[in-house]
Amino acid sequence: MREVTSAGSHPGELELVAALRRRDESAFLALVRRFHSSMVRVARVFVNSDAVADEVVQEAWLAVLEGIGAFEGRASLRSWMFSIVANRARSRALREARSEPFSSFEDPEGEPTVDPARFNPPDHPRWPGHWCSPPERWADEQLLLKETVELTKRAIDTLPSAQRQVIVLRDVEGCSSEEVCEALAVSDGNQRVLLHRARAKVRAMLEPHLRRNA
Amino acid sequence: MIAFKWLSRGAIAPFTGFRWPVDGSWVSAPQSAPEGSGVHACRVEHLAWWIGEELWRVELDGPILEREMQIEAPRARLLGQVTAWDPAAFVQACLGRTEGFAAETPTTELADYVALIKTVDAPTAAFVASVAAVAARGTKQAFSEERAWQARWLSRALDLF
Amino acid sequence: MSSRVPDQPTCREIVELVTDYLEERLSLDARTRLEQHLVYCDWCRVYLEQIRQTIRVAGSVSEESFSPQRQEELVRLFRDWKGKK
Repeated sequence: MREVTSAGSHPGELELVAALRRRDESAFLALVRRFHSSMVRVARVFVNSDAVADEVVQEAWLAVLEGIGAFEGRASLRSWMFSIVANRARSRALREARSEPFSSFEDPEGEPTVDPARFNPPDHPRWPGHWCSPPERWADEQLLLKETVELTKRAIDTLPSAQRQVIVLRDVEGCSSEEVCEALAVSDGNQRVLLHRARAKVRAMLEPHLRRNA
Repeated sequence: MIAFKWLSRGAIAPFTGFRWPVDGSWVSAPQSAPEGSGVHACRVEHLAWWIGEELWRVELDGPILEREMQIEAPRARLLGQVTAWDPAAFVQACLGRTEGFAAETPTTELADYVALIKTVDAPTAAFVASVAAVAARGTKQAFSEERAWQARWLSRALDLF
Repeated sequence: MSSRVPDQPTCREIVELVTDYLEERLSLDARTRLEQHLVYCDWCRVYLEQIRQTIRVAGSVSEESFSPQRQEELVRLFRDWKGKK
């Protein structure tokens, strides 16, 4: 489970920043090992291909090096680096986009996130609105399986892009809601709606595979 | 002050999964948390709303906030489990009540509630009996009145103050 | 909302509140009513737990995409930058 980053850099990070300012290559490598894969994932939610994501992240590393002198430590290092990647990835996606504005709401707002057929209709004589096709408990052991993680990854990949962006940043990468709002330039409310829809969809896609065998 | 708290098996908080220390250590709610994030507890009259697996006596410290269905304090500790809590006896009591409602108001709906109560656990039985009360009495207040009856039953059966 | 259950959300309404609940953005009143519902509704408890489980599994999607080749490229990038001014 990813840790949520608190605001501001902690002492270990400031050490790393100082070493980087001294042009210490091992500090740079430590940073790369820690953050590179996450940065690629972040870039990938904005742009259309792995190759483009790699390019964006290369540019972002250069921007990190060039900007490290001015980094004040008010935000955490990770936060700062993620917004560099997100900004570059968004610009790149905008330049290459044909029609779709990637941060649009793809689902009509207010649409239920769980199939209404799974609940009793409003005119049900006893329990209107209660589950009629309720969820069955998932075994925790199944969640640890490699297949389940693979399935989750694929489910996330099929989400509409705005929802994918939010769930990757929030749940895969463990960014805070503030970081996500900044990276995606959306309000907290919007971010929450997208997160809500994304999580509900991923849950629904996992469900048929995690149903306990009869 | 002394109050009560329902927990899941193993003294675990039902919504947060927090494991309460059973040795009586004090627990404080986080300072910066949003409104309503203190420790929740029940006066006797609130007991029926929050029925869980284990019932504990608790000591609360700090300014007590009174809410509609519970009370809230910044600090609390467990004093001891109310081991007389017998969920099966409680379900029977709810069944008796619901059968009474069905006798007052012999509809298929009330008959359904009687049948349903025989198959459910204590918190659900409390809920179904309250729904049955509304069906029998025809007033919205019957729901919370039934919870009040359930609280009085718990207080007598468990010899709470 | 059911007429028999005054002022309490139905399961259908609960599932739309889970994210706000987990994000601690529900009003105190709404949060109390949601938790009240969870006391007697095992199915909604399961649903909420499944959302939590979904979050946990998403958090473990973390395959590393960092090859030796990539490391070499980045080292070159660093040395070029270091070499300037």
